[in-house]
Amino acid sequence: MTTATALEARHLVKDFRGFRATNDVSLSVREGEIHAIIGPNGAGKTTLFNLLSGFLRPTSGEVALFGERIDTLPPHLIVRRGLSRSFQISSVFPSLTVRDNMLVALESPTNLPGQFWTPLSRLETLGPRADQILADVGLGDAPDRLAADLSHGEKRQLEIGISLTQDPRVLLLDEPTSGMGSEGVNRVIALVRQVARGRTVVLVEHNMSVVSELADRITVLQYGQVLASGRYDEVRRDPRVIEAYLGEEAHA
Amino acid sequence: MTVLPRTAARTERQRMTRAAWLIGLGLVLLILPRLIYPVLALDILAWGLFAVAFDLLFGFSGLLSFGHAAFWGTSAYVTAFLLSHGQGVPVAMLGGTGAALLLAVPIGFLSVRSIGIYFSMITLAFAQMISFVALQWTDVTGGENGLQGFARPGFLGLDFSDSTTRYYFCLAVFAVGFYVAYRTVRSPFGQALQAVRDNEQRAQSIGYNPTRFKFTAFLISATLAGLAGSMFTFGHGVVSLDVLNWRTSGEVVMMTLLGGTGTLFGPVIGAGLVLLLRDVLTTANLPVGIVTGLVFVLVVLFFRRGVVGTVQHWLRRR
Repeated sequence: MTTATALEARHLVKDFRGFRATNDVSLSVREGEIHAIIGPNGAGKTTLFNLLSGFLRPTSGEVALFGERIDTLPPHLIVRRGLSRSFQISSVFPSLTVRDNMLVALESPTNLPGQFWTPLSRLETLGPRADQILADVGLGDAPDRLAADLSHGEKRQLEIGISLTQDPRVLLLDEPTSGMGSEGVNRVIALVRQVARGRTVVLVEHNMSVVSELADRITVLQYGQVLASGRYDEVRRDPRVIEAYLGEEAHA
Repeated sequence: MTVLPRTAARTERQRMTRAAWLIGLGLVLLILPRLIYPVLALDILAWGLFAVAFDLLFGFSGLLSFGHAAFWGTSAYVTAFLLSHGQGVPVAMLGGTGAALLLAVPIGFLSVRSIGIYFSMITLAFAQMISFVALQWTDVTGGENGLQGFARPGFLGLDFSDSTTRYYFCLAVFAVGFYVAYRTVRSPFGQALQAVRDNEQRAQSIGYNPTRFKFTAFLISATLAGLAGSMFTFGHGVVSLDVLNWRTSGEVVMMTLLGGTGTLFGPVIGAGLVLLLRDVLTTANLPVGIVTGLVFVLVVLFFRRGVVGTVQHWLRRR
């Protein structure tokens, strides 16, 4: 089986007022794999995510999605090309109900959002799909609650649900387990595994047990640079990686 | 499956609440000229629609315009100008409203990319520019004197020299304007607009271009503010520089907050309360500014959701 490259970064550089947050990062994510990006705090993981999803413009370098450059596109057009992301800090629409969070996300690719003369009830055509995604992420019993009233874990689930509405070919998850207890972490692992079917997933993750459970390949970042990249079991034996990051975990 | 019935029940209850507000407000507006003098009643309609227009932008897209007098005032002047040049009432009012929309294109284009206080300041700056132009361009605006003494020719057999007739004509116009605002808010567009307001970054990440939504909302809001301004001119038969004053922009903010932002019904009630209070205070020879200011401070401190927002919140908790 030949696997195509889903997402590729070539020599990405991002400077913030003299500080180089991303320094010549090249990365290749294969279609269908779960690729974890790890690294100590401040290694530039979230900056890299923002570069890949269009929320930041690279100072130099390129990002390609299935061979087409996307680094000059704004985020809302990158989604249309098939790349959807979640955020590290739960990012939902607090004043809408859980189900309306789904509906407003599902209507985005249709021609409905431009129509200020159309009754809201027209969105019901998207209702079954909304209910299905909510069931998939484990929020099937909470459609009417305000997103603002959800627990931290539930917001993380809704967050992933919102990303899934775009039916992305490539899904970027920024620390999906952050701030969760072990039970929540296990739920997220199962959820990521489920949504990864037929998709490419890139995730930033601190929790090494999550990475070892899920990742096919990993990329280790340090000081904005790629320290190592490859299959999980290979990279974890790399002495530089052990020294920089994994070492502490291995001894723990 | 327990999900569907609960969603349905909730939607049903919300619909009932909205219907109750709508019927209540409609009834009051229908008999209003019997309760208070018609010119004041008409003022409530005009300011009420102005506040609804403001709420559409502030309550649903989070943009606090501090220059909405530009649209209200420009339309008021254009309406007066057209009437004094022999145009009929419908042409004059539509002309004023259209002028507000045209003005909103450049102002909106240049302002909606800014957020928070910057947006407020840019809109204020534009409104001050318009106000200055009106003061200087005396040939058209009458400068300090304003425009007055123009005819309001009747049409469809309506006699506009009668203030009650003018009121009911404006009530019909108000109903159209309110419906447009209501339709906009309760549409897929309105839903997306609220998503952009709630979390712009998240909205972008699911394919929304925030600028486009804010700009559209800005245009609709300015157009409705213009429609309200043309009603104001039509109601009074005079127009003066007050309509472009920055205090006018501030007053509509106050009315909206008083009635409850993001409710559409609230701003109408807020406008009514402010105007009635001012009328009572003026008649009783009391300091209007101090008392209305005090009421406003008390509402902001203790009923932050405004009148309608507080009632709705209370109903929901029960």
